[in-house]
Amino acid sequence: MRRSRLRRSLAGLALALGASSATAHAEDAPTRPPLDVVVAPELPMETGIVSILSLGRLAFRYEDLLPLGAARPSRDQAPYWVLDRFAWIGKTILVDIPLAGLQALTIHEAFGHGARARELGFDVGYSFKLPFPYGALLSPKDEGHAGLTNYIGGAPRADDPQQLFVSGGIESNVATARALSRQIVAEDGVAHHGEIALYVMSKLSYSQELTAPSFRAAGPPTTSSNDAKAYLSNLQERFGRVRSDDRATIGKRLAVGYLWNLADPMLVWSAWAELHDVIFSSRRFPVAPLPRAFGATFLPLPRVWLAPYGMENELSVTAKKGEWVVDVHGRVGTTGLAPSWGAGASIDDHHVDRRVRVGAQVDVWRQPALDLERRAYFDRPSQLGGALSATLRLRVISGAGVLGKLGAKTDGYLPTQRADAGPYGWVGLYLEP
Amino acid sequence: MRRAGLLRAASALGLVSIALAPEGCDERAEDPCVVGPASTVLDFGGDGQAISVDVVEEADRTILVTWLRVDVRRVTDAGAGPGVTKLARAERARLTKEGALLSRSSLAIPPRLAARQGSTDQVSAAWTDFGVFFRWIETTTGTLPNGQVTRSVQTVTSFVPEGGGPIVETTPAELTCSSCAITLASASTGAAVTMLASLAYGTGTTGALVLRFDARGAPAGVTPAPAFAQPLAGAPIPVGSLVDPPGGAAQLGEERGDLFVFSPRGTYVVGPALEVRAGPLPITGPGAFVRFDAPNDVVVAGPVAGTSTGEPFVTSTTYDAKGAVRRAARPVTRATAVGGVAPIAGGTLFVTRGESGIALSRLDASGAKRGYDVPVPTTATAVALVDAPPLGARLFEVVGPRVDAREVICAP
Repeated sequence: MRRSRLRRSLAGLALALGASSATAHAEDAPTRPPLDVVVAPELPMETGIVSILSLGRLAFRYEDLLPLGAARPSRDQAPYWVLDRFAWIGKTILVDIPLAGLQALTIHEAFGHGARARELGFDVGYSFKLPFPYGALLSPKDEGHAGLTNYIGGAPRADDPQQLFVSGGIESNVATARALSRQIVAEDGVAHHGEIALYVMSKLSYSQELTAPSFRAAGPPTTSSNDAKAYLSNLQERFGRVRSDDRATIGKRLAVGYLWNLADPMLVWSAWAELHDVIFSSRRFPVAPLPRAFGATFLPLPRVWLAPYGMENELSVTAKKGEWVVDVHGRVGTTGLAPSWGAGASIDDHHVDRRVRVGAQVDVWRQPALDLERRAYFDRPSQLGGALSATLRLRVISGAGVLGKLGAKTDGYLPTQRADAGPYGWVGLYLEP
Repeated sequence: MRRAGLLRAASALGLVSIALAPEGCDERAEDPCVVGPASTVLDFGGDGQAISVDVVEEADRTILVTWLRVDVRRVTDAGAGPGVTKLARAERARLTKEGALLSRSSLAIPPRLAARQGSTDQVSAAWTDFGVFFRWIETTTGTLPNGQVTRSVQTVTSFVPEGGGPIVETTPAELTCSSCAITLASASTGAAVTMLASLAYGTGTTGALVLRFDARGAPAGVTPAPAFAQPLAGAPIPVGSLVDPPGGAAQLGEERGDLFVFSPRGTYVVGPALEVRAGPLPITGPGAFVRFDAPNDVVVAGPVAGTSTGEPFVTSTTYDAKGAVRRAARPVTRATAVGGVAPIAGGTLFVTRGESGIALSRLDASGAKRGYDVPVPTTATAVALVDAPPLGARLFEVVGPRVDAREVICAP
């Protein structure tokens, strides 16, 4: 290439970057939820989910510093648009996916398994591997788990604590997806693309293992560091179903029940939004097309919980009308080992006045009795239980304040909350961005 | 709703939740059995240390506790030296099922055994109604002029009668050989002693013999062992090499007057000459327990190989005397060994040992697990479980230098 043409090409590239920079903020950032950091004794699951979601939103603010913009795919901007696409793809793969992956993994290990271990009085340690794509690039032969949580000094002997620990990781991911979906409704469908990625990762936690043919294979309960297989083995032992064909039966029921989790319209929209809105159109904040009825937006979503006595399939409907965000949900056991159901409703962060927001949640359930002490307790009485909690967000100064949650529950499994009876909650600070 | 109304509603809901019992709104299950406090029923006492303690229920429903007494003598060599453990006595105590002492005996080991300074293996003592039957193997190792090492073994039996009298000693010719190895197993029903000898030869040949002795230690016959009690075939070894003990040598056990054979070919309940009374039953591994209730009821409880997330699963299967399954395997608990099985009103009680210690598990009459495991607060090294109608069972525990007993009361 002749030097003069090279000079013109370099000038064009500079102009492209400059033009991108000039249009970097063509999409106005919408008002985002507050940044919450909450704590409680033993750092239970919910504190990690709330805080890490906020820290994630903070981390993604790095995009404000990038000269990437919404160059239109028009004829005169085509080269710049192509460059912008490559930049977005590169950023997505090299920064955004690892960032979302790190959030999901930290929640899974430290505030899933780790939270349940702390609740039950056991010490654990963690190991994390390089997130995708760095792990695939820098240690391609290392095919182990992305993260591990190990007991230090002793593990529970009773059946239910073992199962709570094992399923705690997936439980925290399901709860993360639930929190994100409620936030998306509260924000009128607006979501940062990083949160979309996190939603997908959280929803699909262990999906490959739960749907694999080997999961439905016959066999006795065996030790495994795979959460899904360990959960299945623990169910066998919990109910004394140790015959080879018992595992196949239970595994099949779990796999079929898990399909409910995948019938998720938000998953479908997330894939579309990532490809079309984000990578094709450089939108940092895609907007989910929420259904509307009777003047309200609403979002029905399916999910599954790996309860200590079997899988529970849940359907929730989050709705927003005006300043009210309400969620109702119902779940039912589908593994066939013991009957169970649960239902609840919540009001999220309702504006009372410009300084105060309140929320409340009530849950009831009927399930086999949980027992954190005993072993080989195969057939248990069914027990009714419930929980009630309230949240408060109080603005102390302009743009910042305190928040807290206080609740109480009876014995029994309630996702993200302590297994035994007693109070629960957290306190923290928030910052309005 | 206005804020004041919200607060009233929240308060009402709060009162409702506090009013709910912390455990929920249903009854808690009652304990399937209640374990009472332990009380000492036997103190080994005496000089020396009690080892190889065994507690079994006998055919007459008494509890037989047997043990060996060892002396730890200090060998002086111009000063303090290492201690040498020497077997000194065989002792036993007979208790009622309630733990009352009926009799206690102590007999010195035979002089020939006491004189051995080494090359003595497989020492065992079995009590009959009239004394103690000892057996052991004496090994003599030599070197031929051409340097070849030879080893010959000789089996010795020695009966020491209770109350004095001549010791009855035998050295069965069938169990004296060179270039061979012998594994012994013996058990006493009180009225007779059965010894199973598994042999391996340098040629690779293996075999097994049943030697019977009466209650005073006199030989009562030698016959080839049945096929199920034969060891596994071996391979020839080079001349001059030492012969290894035969693989798959069967083990003998005794409980309530019944003899049991545990071999790689199956499990059997047998008579004194190893005639089959029940079986064939499945091969049982370490930690299994077999209970025979004549004439047609065999319960096999034990860890199931391959069922483990750290601790194997214990199942219980009921067979008839022909080895046909009468009740398929039922899950009992997770443990590494079953210490005993006892029938109780409306079901069966199991005592197991696992990572959490010793626990009781109960199956009801239909074979379903009732409730949960009841831990037993003990550090026992051996246990025996006997039924104690009408309320439940009694657990005998060997704890250091004593035997404790505790009641187990099981709700109907």
